[in-house]
Amino acid sequence: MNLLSRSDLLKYSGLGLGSLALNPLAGATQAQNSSLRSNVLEKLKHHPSKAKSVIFLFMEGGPSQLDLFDPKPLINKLDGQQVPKSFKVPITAMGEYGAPILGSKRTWKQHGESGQWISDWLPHTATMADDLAVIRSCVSDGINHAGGVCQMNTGSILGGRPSLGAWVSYGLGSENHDLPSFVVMKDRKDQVINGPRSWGAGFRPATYQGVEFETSGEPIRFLKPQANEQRYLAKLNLLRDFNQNHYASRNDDTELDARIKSYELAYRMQSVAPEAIDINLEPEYIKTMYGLDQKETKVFGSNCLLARRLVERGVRFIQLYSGSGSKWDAHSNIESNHSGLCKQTDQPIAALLKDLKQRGLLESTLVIWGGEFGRTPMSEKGNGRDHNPTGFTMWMAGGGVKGGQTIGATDELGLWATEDKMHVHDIHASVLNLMGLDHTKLIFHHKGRPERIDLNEGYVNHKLSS
Amino acid sequence: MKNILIALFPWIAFLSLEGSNPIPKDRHHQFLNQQALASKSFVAGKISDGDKKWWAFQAVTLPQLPKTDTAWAKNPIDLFIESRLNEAELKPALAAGKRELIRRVYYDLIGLPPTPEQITAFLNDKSSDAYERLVDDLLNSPLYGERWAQHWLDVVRYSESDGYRADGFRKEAYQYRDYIVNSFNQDKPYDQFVHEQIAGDEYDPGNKDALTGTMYLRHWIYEYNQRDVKMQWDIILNDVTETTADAFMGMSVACARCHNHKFDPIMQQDYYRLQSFFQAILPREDQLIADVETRKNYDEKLQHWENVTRDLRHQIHNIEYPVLLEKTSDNNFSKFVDEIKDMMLKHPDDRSPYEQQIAQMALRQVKTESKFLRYVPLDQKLILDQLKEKLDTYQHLKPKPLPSMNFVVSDVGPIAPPTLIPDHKDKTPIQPGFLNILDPNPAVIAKVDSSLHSTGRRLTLAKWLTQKNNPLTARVMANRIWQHHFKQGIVSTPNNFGRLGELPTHPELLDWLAFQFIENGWSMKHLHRLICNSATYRQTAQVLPTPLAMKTDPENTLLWRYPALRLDAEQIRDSVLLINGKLELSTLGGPSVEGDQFRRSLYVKKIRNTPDLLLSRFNTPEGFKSSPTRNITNTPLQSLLLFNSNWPIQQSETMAKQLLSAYPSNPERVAHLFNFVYGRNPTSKETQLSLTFVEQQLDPESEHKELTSFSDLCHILINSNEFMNLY
Repeated sequence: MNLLSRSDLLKYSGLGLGSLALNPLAGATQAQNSSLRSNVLEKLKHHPSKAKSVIFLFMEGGPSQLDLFDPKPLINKLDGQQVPKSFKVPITAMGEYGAPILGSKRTWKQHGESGQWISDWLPHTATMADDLAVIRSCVSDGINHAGGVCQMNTGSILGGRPSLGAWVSYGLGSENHDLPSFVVMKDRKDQVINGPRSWGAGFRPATYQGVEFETSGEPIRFLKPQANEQRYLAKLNLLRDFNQNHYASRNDDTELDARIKSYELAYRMQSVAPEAIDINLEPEYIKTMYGLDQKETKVFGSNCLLARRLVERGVRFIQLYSGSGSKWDAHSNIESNHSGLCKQTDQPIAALLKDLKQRGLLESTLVIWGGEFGRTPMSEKGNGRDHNPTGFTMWMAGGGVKGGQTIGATDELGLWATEDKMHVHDIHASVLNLMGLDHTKLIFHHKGRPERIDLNEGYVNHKLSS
Repeated sequence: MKNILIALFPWIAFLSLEGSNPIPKDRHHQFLNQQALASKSFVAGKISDGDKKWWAFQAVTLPQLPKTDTAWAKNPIDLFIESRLNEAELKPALAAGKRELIRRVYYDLIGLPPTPEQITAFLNDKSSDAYERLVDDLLNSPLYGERWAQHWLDVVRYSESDGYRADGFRKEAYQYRDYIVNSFNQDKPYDQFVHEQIAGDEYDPGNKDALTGTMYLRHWIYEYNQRDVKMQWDIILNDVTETTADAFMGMSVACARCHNHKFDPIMQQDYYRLQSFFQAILPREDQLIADVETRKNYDEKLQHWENVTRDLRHQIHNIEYPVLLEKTSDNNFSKFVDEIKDMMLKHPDDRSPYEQQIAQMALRQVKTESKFLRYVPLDQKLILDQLKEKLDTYQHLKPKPLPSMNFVVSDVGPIAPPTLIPDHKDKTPIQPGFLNILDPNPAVIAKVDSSLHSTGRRLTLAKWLTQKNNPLTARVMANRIWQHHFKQGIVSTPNNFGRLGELPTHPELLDWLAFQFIENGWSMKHLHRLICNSATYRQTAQVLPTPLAMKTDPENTLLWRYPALRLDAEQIRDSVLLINGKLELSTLGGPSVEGDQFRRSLYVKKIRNTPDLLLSRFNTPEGFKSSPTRNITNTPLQSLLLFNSNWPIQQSETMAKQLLSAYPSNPERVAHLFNFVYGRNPTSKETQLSLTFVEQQLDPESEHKELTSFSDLCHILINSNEFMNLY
């Protein structure tokens, strides 16, 4: 489904695409492996690292740590009772601090050689237990979705700052100049909380912002020309002529040149992006592995498979939203809510890890799983759980992460993080560290202030790396 | 030279143009050395003598005019520019041609390109002051305010939505935008402009315009269901504090929220001294519009009625309020912690100022029902009815309601809640005060009439900011004005005049401008006129750098030519619509519209989470924080949008239709198109390229062959660098 064929691309080589013949990507009809990554210097790298790319699996709405990764026998024991007075009262979104405790209906087992605790909602993920570093002590400041999602992405519960993907793109640049370095995909039409600014560049130039890929049809908005190829190319050629005439007498202005190049890149993207996202090029067994043959797993499975294709092509940061529009937000009926979403994501996520591993890409790809917060041990509406930003679980795998370990702990109810607390700032600092970036040095001067992803508050948790 | 200057610019007369002290050649180096020295002794948390010598903290004085040997200068601005160029052994560029000049000054002052007719008229105007009159005409055009309002709206993080999940639309916010447009058009003195935005309710309480100014204090982001009310209130106060420092003082105080500034002599205490001026604010939806006399009269009666009915009203409150809060369909009252619930339940008379602020914020989250009385138990209901009947008998004592307005700010009352540094051991409240380095004493609070029920704190701050001896305010605004005329400020970090900002490239020029600004009644148009009429501004941009310029000043900070400018988002959209004849210019102001309408971009709805795609892709700010400069980017996504999306294609079609109907031949059409889009005739090469293109582009399958091919040509031109960049 290439929008423009290879031959068009060559025909159009007059557009100043002098580098075309030298560009290995332009010559490749099908990307097979990571050797396609160009040898672009990772421009701001501070220390050596294994991770080159990030896949952030964002369970939007807040998955329940108490029913997935952080078993708490006490909540079953106190099921239906008030939170004992010895626990500090948190401010919650829906004021459920006085509601009775809701036990977990899950059965729990230890998995892998490492014996990680994972509930029966995630049987596929459980098979990868030895690759996961489960962090049970995550902490955020956002008690609502907007602030929570904003902070998990940008470090602040207030808008206006660049997101993690934008920082990583800024720090490491792109390895593929025909694709954006920061790509975002959703699993449904609903808008992610706060809209596109969740992957925005904030006060940074738009160059670093995430680009939303549609998973069917046009991958990038406005990628498809509104004219037949001949007419389209004639337009591009005349535009180039005008621009070059104009540039001839002003060739000290690099902005003009950059703008001419942005049309060239846009044009190359038209050719490269459709191929990059064409999962029909994948063999059947791979599709089955990601669950593309099942109704429930098809959408998220496709996104996971796409993420792997993009990682192979050197895309730096990929964010996949599961449940976009706060669908993990189980204020009521957590059983049906979470069992559905777990079913949709479990097999695809496990397949992604396995697939990356079998291709030798897991070493260089940091996979992050989590939501903007977790859920409370207290019930809501009888069978749901309220937001819990004071102690929740995320996991990381690959990219130099030491798998098969559990980091941190919550109290006996899973309400407050107690050991090895990792605030969102620490999570961001640690992610940058795994990417070879020093969060105290990756700064951007904005309005004269040296800005950092972690608002100067994060610490790297070195237990994560192997 | 001197005499000519004095004749043209009478204000020069009092300057000692031929000062007796020879100006040292390397004056700027001296300045740099002084500043480096001033920074050496810096210790965080202390104010050293060096700190006091930092340039931005020095009083604005009228600098001596440098002497130059040439007759290039048209006004003193040029003397400052030329002397710095001389020091660097550079020369100013030649004067721009009339065509270049008219395009520049149109875009600069009104944000739109001149039409071919306007260009022709200017070219044909051979009078010696044709250009100066053009500048005046543009400054007198209401389109000027529409353009320059945008710059200010960026600085005050203006937006029309809440900015969180629900991102509620603020239907009143546009009144602030119109207030800004009008203020610029009226050339409102900047000191008045400052007063109205920070303290309009204390400064001129009977003036609706001044009250609208206080909407400046309402542009913070707001989460409609944030149960952590105290935290949200802290965030709001921090926003107001930091935006005020950014916008009016050019001082980034945000660092000092948590600790003494690590580079500037700004103490953590300074942050809270500044915050203290805003400690009493209360968002109002019922702000009275009445001057002090009317308010006095009204207040006297109201107080009397309140005194007489106090018991009755409290009894009614005690029965009604718990029911009112608890019996709502959203059940939101129950979602607050007890501490907040208690504040909400209290009668407003019994709330402390802080409790009143928090209760009011929390009450915004509870949608009370009009029929809540049916939930009052019957026995209570009988009592309630009796109480109300009795209250009614005092109705005649109550003053007639005064007109009021919403989405503004006043103080919670005459007493401010205490200002405390969070997590600080010392719980002594911080008193309002200015930056310690400028004045370590607590501020002397201005008296406001008791009928306003206001602390006078914000009025005090506004007065301090606009005192003639305030070293920051005039410099900061003069710099912003310069910045938008020349792409870059004399200080290139317009919100930060501290050590983390950039030093001024022409410190004396900045002082001279600031001085002129104050002495000419804080008139912004006066500064525009000075700048636009300078030889510096009238240089051509169409000259390549000399090897020396390339080596010593590749960024053109010394202005050896007029800088090349890239159109910003609003200029791009507005120009396209002007060129194709769709732009609606007749109405000024009014509620905002969707981006597919044909009003100027200033009037396109600014929704924080779903900004207009075209505008945001070309870097309009998100509206969360003060944004003094625009990012300039060249991304493939911008190219895709301009080249493949519907909007530019539709506008090109409209453009093509007009060309086709107005002009019979293709060469004429091409010529007119170039004149509309580029403001010039096409070269013979361009004519030939265009004509060939139009011929080849004729689509045999299309019914409207000519339309398609001319649309394509229009589309190419509005994508081109010459359209997008000003030279």
